[in-house]
Amino acid sequence: MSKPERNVIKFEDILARDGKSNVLFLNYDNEAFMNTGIQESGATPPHASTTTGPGGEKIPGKVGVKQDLVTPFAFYGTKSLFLATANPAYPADFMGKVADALKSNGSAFIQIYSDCMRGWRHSAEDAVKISKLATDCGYWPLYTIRVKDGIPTFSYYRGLEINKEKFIEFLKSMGRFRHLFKPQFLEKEIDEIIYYTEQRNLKLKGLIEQFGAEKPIDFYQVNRRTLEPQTHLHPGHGLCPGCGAGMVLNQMATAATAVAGNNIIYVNNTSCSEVSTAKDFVTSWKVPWVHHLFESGATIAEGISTTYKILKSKGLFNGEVPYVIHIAGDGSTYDIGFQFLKAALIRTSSFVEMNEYLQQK
Amino acid sequence: MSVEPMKLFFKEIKEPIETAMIGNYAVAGGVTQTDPDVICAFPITPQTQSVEGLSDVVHQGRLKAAFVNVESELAAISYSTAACAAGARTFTATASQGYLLMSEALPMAVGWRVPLTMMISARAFNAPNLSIWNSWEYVLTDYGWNCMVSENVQETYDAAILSVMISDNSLFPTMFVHDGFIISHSVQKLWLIPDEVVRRLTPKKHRHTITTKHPGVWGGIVTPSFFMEGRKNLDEAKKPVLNIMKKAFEEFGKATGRHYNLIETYNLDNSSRMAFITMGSMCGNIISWMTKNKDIGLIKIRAYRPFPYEELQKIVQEHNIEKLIILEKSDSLNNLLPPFSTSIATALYPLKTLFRCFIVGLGGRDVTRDEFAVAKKKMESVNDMKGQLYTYLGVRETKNKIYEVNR
Repeated sequence: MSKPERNVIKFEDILARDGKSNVLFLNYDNEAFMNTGIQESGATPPHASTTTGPGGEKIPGKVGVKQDLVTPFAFYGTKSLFLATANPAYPADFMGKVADALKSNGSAFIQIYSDCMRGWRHSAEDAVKISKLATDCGYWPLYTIRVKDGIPTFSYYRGLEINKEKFIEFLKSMGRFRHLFKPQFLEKEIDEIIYYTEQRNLKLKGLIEQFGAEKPIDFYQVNRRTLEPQTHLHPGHGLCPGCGAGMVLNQMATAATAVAGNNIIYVNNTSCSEVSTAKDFVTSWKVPWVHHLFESGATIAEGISTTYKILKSKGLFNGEVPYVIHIAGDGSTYDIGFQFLKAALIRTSSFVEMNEYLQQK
Repeated sequence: MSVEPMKLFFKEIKEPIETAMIGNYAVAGGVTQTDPDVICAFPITPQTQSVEGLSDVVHQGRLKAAFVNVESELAAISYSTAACAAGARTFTATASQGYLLMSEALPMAVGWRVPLTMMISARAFNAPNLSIWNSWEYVLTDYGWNCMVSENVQETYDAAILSVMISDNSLFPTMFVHDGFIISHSVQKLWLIPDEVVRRLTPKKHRHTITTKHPGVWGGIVTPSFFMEGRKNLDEAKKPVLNIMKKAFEEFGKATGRHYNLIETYNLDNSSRMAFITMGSMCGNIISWMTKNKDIGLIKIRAYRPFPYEELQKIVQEHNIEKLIILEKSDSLNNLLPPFSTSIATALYPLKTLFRCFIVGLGGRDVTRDEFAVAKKKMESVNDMKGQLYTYLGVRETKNKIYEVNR
């Protein structure tokens, strides 16, 4: 078999494109309800220890699986949707995807691996190392799905192969899996985590085979030296040292600044990134930022985006319609906010069309 | 056009038109005339025709607006709040379980001071059974929304326009209520207001919105050092609202010839010194019963929230009312009185007026004239405020006999 071809996507080329997303939905996945104190969620991997599913002598951590949130969205039959996974340990890939999503018509959802050193029980300086390991061992593959007129096209960057040695190292590096190694080596449980991860990757490979792009490897080329510093977020915020969400926000804002300048509105679900970037009369945000409820952010983001479009088509707003990014995490997309995310994502993926109807004389 | 009763609203209304339609379509028409930018709701009986009518005027091109079908009432209120905060004139509608599902987001609309309007077709909530018929679920919770209650189709049509005026001028969301099925689904006569008059009454005003021109934070976390100030500010901001409502009624009266007030009264200077006090569709029935029972009055609450307690005290004092018969379409399993009666009792406290609460018409049961007579008779023998203060009226005792009402 010949080596799959690489599709090089240059950051400058993305910026030069005409498209514009209705809303970009971001989920920084820290695999539990971290803002409330490390409680188990649908994002928690099997056998991880949390405060509501501790690694006990009888029951070793979470009983159940980590839901696959991204792939199913490819099969809702949407009009225009950009879906991707990302990892801040691969910043060029992540920033490229944010820009690509913002410059794609319809709507977009990016699921980002987001280290939580408090919840995952490791020291702050290991955050990037562990994040990188997650993709390298096959736990967090980086892939992209572009849905156009109901048909998904899969492509990937890396992380589809399971490297068992690195996988064990990955599990061992975090306290939330400690009970699988000490006092006894729980081989069955460790194998189960690897098995479910492998099954997911096999499914992905099958999908890439069936719905793969002509050049299935996406390579985002971002010259970081030429990128302007982001202007959306002040350096000061209340996130923990080594927090994945902090890296996510910084890289997201850098790409978004390049695309949107300051013509952007952020919406945040209740989460760590919410409580630690705007408190009392002090805000880290230099651009408009909205928080409504734990779960409703996706709907709020859509409401704001739609309002600007309808006001523009009615002649009540004359400027350029702002970009809207919705940030969620801490279980608010997997669990309580799923209904909102799903509905808003699918609606905004075809709202371009409704807007066209409204523009007609 | 696919919804027949909406046809009147497809042409510019130049003169007042006399017509007949159900409450929900009348509201859809009234809302159309106020030129909303965003309409977002989730269907629930008996609210549905109001949004059906609106989707018709949008999809047929009469009204330029974003009509958005969402996945739940909680999404509907969230969407509407966001759209309104971003600068759109926004309308939503719900009832019953939908209103309860909205509960989590209802306070945010108040906190953000969005001039949103919502129609409620009052309907019972589920317990112990499902009922799609009329009760007053909207009195259960109070998160600071303005609330206006309508007696008939004309009033609810007018309320659709009045609510926009009140919301825009007070910067608080306003809900306007009519009784489910009794008004929402019954065809009644009404006069439509010319479009030009509605435009004049409801101009779109500049207000603070979510904008990149003035970046700001909406709804961030505050510590105990600041939360109370936010609540106190809302309380202060709420104080002028009753006057704003009064002014809106005045302006509306001048433009249309239909005069409303926070509280409306009938035949208070009677020999018995007694009066009924209630709101909504029951009032019409009481007035028609009063044509043969002239020795009793009626107080109708039109503005339920904020509660016009000073006006009520003034009315009770001026007319020397000694006893009030509260008719309420909701109950309370725990409190001394159900919610509407609680507000009245609080207002009456310094006056020491005697009253009893009669719980009637739950789950859409007809409130009959016999019941008014029974309530009046019972009240005649009340001389203190001791014992249980509420009674259920019109409840089935056996299969064929209604408790305490002679048939």
